[in-house]
Amino acid sequence: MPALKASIQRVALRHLDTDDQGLPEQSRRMDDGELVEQVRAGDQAAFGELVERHRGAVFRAALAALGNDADAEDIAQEALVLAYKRLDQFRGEASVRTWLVSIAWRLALSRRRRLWWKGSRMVAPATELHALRDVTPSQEARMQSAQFIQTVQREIRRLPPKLRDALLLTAAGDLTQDDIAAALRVRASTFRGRVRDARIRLKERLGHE
Amino acid sequence: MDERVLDRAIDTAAGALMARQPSRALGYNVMERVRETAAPAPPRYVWVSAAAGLALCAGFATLLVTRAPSGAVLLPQTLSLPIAQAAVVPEVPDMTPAAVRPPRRVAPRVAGPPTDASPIAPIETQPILLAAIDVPQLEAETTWVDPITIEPLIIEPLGASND
Repeated sequence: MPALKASIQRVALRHLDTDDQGLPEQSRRMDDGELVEQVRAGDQAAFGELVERHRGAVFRAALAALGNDADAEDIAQEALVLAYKRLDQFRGEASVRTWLVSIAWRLALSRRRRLWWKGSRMVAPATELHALRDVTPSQEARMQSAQFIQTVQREIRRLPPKLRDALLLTAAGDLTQDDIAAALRVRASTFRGRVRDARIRLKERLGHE
Repeated sequence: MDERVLDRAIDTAAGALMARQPSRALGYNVMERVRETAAPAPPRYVWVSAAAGLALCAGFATLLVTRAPSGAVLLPQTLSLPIAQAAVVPEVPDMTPAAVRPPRRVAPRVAGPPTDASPIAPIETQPILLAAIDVPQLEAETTWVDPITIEPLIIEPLGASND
């Protein structure tokens, strides 16, 4: 992995060198910061590129909070439009993705509170589990079976919201735990503690199954 | 149960819950709304639009000031007649100065000086004579007050008192 990173950096530096030699600028992939500057200069297409890059992460953050695709997509749309309107407030202290996820997270929490007051509960997404169906007599195979995974998912949904959020956002894999903590505006140690507590509680409950 | 196996099961279950993708419509809808949102105009465009607006306002103001009066005089229309007959022009009301009414005179509100010049009879006056005024003299009266006799105060001894 470090070797891969080093090769990527070498490629990027070589690419910068070629730009200096007068090769076409379009061949270089712009980073998020440059795209933000272009959007600020009035280039809407640059914002379209940012949306393409980060819409999945924004959607999954909302999904972790709300638990259903329709609400998550609605919140993701609101968050991205709001980000465009408030792009002047982006100071570059965090990555663009972290900033977008933090906007989506606040909107999603607001929606979750409203849904809670209306009495609706978190709806489990219809997860495609057919790929997990592998019923074999071994214990490990039994734990990977669709039925057991559904049991674990049910227990995840029964976790306290803060623990469940931490576990699901980590599982989404779009951001590091430190970045998620920054997006949620909690300390990184607090966030890691929540993930650890969520696992401990799940293991305790699943151990009694 | 083996803890590592449980960890893997938790990861699998949580990953399956989050293994979702947004629809393709998400990006399209976002960009549609972004296009509807007016992008903040660069300062030079603001100045250009302000100058254009100012020039437009000035043009309208000039047009309003220099515009001809709208009350056009409508002349009576002539009748379309055959060529053989003489055209009859309807009479136009005579607007000669004689027909114009004289200007109305307004009486002055402030009265002018009197024009009466009849002589005024002289007024006879009586001279004022000085006469001595007789003032009656007041008689002086003297009044007498009876002298007051003060008897000496006799203090009785305490034992002689009735108390």
